[in-house]
Amino acid sequence: MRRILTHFRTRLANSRLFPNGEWVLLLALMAEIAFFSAIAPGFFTLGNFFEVLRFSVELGLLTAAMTPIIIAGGIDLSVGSTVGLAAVVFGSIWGNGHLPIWLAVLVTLLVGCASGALNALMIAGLRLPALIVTLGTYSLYRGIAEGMTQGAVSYTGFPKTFLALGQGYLWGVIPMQLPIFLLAIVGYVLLVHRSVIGRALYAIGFNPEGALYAGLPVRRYEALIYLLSGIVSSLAAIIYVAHLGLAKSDMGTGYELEAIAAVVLGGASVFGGRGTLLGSMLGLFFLTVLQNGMHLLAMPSELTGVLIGTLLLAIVSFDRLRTMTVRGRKPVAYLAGWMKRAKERRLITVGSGIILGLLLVVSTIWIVRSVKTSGTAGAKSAAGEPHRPVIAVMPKAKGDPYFISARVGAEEAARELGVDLIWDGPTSLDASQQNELVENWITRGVDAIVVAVENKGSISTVLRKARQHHIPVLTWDADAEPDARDFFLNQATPEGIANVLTDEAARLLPPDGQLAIITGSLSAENQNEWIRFIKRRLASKYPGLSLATVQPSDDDRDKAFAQTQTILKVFPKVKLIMDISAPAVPGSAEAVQQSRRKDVDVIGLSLPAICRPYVHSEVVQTIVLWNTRDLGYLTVYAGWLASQHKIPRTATSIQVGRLGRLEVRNSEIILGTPLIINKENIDHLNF
Amino acid sequence: MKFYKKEIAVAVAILGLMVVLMFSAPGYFSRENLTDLFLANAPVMIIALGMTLVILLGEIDISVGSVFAICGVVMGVAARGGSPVAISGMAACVVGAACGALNGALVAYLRVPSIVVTLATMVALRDGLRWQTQGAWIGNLPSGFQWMGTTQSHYTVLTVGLVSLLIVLTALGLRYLRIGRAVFATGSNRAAARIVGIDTQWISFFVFTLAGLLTGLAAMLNSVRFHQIPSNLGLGLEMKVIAAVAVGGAAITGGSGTVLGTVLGVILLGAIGPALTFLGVSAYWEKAIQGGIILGAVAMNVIGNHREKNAADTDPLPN
Amino acid sequence: MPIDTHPRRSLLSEPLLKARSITKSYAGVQALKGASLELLRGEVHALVGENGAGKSTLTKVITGAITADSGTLEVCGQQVARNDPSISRSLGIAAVYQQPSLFPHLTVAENIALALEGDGSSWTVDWKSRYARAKELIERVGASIDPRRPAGSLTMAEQQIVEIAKMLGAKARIFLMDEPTALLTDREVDNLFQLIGRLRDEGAGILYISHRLEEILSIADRITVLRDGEVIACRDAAEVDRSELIHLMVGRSIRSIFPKREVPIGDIALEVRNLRNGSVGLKDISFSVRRGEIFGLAGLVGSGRTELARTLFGLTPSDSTILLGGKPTRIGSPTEAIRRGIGYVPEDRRQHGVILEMGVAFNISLANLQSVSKWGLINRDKEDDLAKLYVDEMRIKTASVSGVAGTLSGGNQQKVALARWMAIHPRIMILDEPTQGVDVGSKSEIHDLVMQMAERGVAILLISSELPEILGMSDRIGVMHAGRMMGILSRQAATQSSIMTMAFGHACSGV
Repeated sequence: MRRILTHFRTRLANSRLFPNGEWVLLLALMAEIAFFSAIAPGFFTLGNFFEVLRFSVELGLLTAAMTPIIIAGGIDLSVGSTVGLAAVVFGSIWGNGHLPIWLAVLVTLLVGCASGALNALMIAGLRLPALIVTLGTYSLYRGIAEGMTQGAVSYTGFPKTFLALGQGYLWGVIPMQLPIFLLAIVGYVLLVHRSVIGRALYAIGFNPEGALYAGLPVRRYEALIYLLSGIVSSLAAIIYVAHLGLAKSDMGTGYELEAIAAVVLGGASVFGGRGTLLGSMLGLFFLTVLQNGMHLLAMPSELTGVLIGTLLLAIVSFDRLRTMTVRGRKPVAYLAGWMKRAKERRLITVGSGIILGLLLVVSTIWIVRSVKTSGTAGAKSAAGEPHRPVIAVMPKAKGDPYFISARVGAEEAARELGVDLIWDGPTSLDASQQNELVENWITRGVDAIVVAVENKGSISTVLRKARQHHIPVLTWDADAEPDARDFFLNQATPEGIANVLTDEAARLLPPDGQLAIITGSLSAENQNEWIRFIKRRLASKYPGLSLATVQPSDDDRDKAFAQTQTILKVFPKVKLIMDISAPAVPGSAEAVQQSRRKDVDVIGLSLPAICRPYVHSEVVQTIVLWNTRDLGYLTVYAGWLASQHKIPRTATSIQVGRLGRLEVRNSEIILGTPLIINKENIDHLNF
Repeated sequence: MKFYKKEIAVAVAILGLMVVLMFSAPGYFSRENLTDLFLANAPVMIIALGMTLVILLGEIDISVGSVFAICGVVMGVAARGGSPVAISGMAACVVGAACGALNGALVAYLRVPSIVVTLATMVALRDGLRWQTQGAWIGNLPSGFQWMGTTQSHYTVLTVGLVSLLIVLTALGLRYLRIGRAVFATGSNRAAARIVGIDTQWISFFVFTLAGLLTGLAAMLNSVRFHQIPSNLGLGLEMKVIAAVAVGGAAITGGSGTVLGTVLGVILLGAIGPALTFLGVSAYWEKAIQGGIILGAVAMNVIGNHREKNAADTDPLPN
Repeated sequence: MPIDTHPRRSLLSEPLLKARSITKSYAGVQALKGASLELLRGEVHALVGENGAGKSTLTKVITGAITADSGTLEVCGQQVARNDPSISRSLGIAAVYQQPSLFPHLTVAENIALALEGDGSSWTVDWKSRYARAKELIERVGASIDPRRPAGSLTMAEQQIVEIAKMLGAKARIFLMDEPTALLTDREVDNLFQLIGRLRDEGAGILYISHRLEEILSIADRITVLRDGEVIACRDAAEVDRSELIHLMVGRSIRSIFPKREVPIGDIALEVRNLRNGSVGLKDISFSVRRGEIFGLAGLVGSGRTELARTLFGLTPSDSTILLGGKPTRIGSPTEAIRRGIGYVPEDRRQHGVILEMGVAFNISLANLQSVSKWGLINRDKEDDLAKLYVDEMRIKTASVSGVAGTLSGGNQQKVALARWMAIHPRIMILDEPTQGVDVGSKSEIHDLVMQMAERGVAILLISSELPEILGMSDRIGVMHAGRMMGILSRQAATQSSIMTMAFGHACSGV
């Protein structure tokens, strides 16, 4: 039996079908699919199959582009940034300039070509190390994209015909972008595995000197693959724009690492020479199927990252252990021997060091887990119990304290109503991941979907699809297009918030005072809307007040801290910092406190829990917010009501558990007016 | 001196920036601003020291951002659990070293390429932390946590002292300790290093562990500046640190680089962001400018190297 | 280990080093066939022989860089059971090799120190003493190199001096010097000889390998001649002269076994006139090769033969005139060289000749992908057919054409390298040491293939360090020395000694 297996394996390994041992990955992928088919609801369906494909297209293009580069012993960290740059260029030409589409596509591809050309010039021309060059262009291209848009602009309003490219279907089932993807893959397969160039790339990867001695134009081919990578990245950007319906400077963030992970998982060696396109694609689908399956199982998104990292290490280490020898022996045999020899004491030290380290990490996780206050009841899968309704609620970003606080209320409502809560969302602001999650929820067949919309334009299509599947759709925190949802849970209008904040600022400042705004990510739409209303209110009602500057904080406390420090010095007349991002308020407050500037006040939108010490020490005068816990409670409660069809179309008010009667106006459920939180009332609020 | 020409180039760039600022924004040089800048960049500086060692070896570590976050959170959890700040800080360092040791063991003893190892640990550790904390901040820290139970000014002095000490120790260690020289030798010519009896695997393992330890230390210094610890610390930190080291003239292929260069690299990249605000340039161009600086610096380095190498290659009969 | 701590130093008669019946083979090629050697105290013992006679293998066995297949090694009368570089160092053996291996980024002083300090007990580094020591050692070699310079910035000659300084500092009593003067200037050589004299007077034993017979005759006490892995003779230096040494080294003529056949010689295929290439040290080279002609290129290692080949193949382009079929041409890259019908089988098979990790078919088609492809896409069947053709024709022993080249024996790898260039149907073929490290059977097969190519009218430039091969195969023979063509001998006029004489830098009267 064993011999037959070995024989089979050698034959497979030698055959042209799996030149690089891809069968291991293929088996792993099949096992993965079998596993999810068995336990993940809705996984093994044609619809889900095509959805996985659709979500793999952009990353798949980058993976394909990365494959020959890694085969030739290089690396390209700039692909994700090129996607961002190309998307912004495309958006600005077409979305805003209203130039013809072919021109926009052409210019975008040219931009991709130019960004690839810069890499090619520096790597193949000047013979600089690819890792550092593309690290530089990784910053440069993203920076140009941000600079062009000032981070704030996201281009939307693309015509339906174009959006169909990313969102439509051929014959009702096949995603529109799939043929393009397949074409690109076929092109790359031909390039890598059939063409003269591909053969040369392998030779270059194995032995660049040897390739030169064989008379191959090494530099020209190297330049070509970086150039192609730029072009394919810009193609991916166009599809991505059509897919999401918007173009933003932060598109494609982190894609470079995912693409590299897929290629390495596919058996390529970063030292060059090894790797196949089949392997890379298997690696890619291994990753995307894993993500999809985990979502369908309602496992939290972060777990996917943990699994990917661990599997990557496991597979690569396994491969190393299989092929390496330690002093001429197989590692296992070697390990058995080394305990005995005094000479190897150092290895023992190292080994025990690692074990100790792992133990520490594990125990740390355990401690964090046990100390953690919020429960994870929602993570418990409802797979086994079909009777309990499943309400899926999505925050904009899971890590944001604002949404964490809302979750507590959501869980409270879920307990009270006896429904299962799926609480999942992107780990950081990411419109495409929101789409992907909603798709997965439709596939899974949840009873209601409640989404905090990151980008109106990009999510509405998929929300409409959910409604077509008779799943009630509600939006909260920020709205989608009105026809894409049943109800919007309106905690307060943007204008209302802006007005309260501006009035507070005017109250604290002298009539001719100056203020500065620190926002989160300037690409977040609701924050931009607030800024617009704040400016309008300032102009109309407080013409004496002036807005010195608007600075981004990336929703990062430490960055808000540093920004505030700088603002205080550059604009000494600024007497008030207005933070419209929850993590920014404590950052600014700490900066003001440490600067000992008693004359500067901080106000903003934030949570009592993370601002409490600063409100007490009177650095933070006021924070404005609705009750996030109540909002979280409302998401689940309203979702449940909608799933039970208990909100009549004509209702003007509904009864929402402990919140009492809430007003319903124009398909919006109004939570109430914003709270003004200050020293007096902060200790009565428990969120 | 010819050995420091890369460093001089960076220093000239810094000087140029200073001169511009001197005329258009003298407030930049106020004591408070310089202190703030220093404190903001102290963690980057400490991690960059570790990264310098890693890059000198010819390896790379892109997991530092994730390790930084884990160490910060561990410190917060320990402090909230009632341990004294010193002990919590040590816990952060130990956890950092353990993560580094994990990277190091895989790189050194399994000979998995460092970029693959640290890419995997970067993703796994970051998402593991997110999973465990669910993004929650560590708050309710004991009152003695901020400034490590001292005052802000004491902490500043302490940090200045500690960072300078670390810089000096790393520089001296690289210069005067056998193990420091072994790092250079291993990065310069691994085969030759083995021939002269250097345990190159041990050196790799040690350097990764030390880099992890320094990351833990940086996380500790950063955490005590605040009342709370967010769990999303250090996003994108690895790129910042690697860029600083590369700008400082260290060769990514190993064997060449100085602590002085790294220090200057951190200063240049750290100074430029706020300088843009001072100069009234939109902060959104910061990334593009940083990318340009990295490309410029690395192009300059390698053109310099080419010249050196060609000098050695022109020997009549290399056979 | 200092000399005077050794327990058996009283036994002055005991040889420092005794190697007995050492054998070693690489991939079926017998490099050493039971060589024996004795090195006495206060002796300079020269080791001579042609390239490939086994000198380097013998030194590597002594320094522990490689392990012998059989035979024993004794140092000061004690048998060395296991040997590796650090053991041999601790036994007081120090070596300087032909090829310097330094840390390019580190300074001269540190390169010296790292080699000498070993597993020292100190944790720290004393730079003052490192510099002082490096300075002193370099001065003892008789050179002046700033110890603070990075090794990467040194010329090869300076690197060699650093290697010698490293060896000196090792406090050894057995010194192995493999071509230490190949890269040095006359003055530096003089200094080195004085140094060797001092070492000898201090009682050390020096094993000295060189191609420069004058040098050997002037400094050696005894001379051992190696040929084909065997010790042919061991003489007192006073008793032999140059011509006798050369005679001993080259042995009897074995021209008869080469498959040389008369081939009609055609037009001039390749001609160079006053070729210069400053960057690789080629000066005023003129010669021509005709179609069907085998032009042998002889010379010592480092005489510029490989550099000439690399220049003709466009790897190190030169501005001088190269005429191909009578037309002046500039060959700027290997790609151009191939387009003009030049093939080049390089000297270093494993690094440059074949790509070890790739399959046989892939290697064979690599320089000729156009012929098996259409629209830039490779036709695998055509490629396999091409490979099979050559695998059969050249009798390459491989399980299949997709078998990985690295798993083949040296001879078969070399045939693959050759097949790659035969596949382009070259007009001019440059063969650089085509039979080096190849077993006897493959060797004669390769000779046969070369002959067949000549019969098809290919102009062949054959570089070889093996004189019988050059003499047996060539129609004319050019001899190079220090980047110059010393002379061109006709097949009839060439003898082993006339070639050797010219290769050692003397003009030959018989031209």
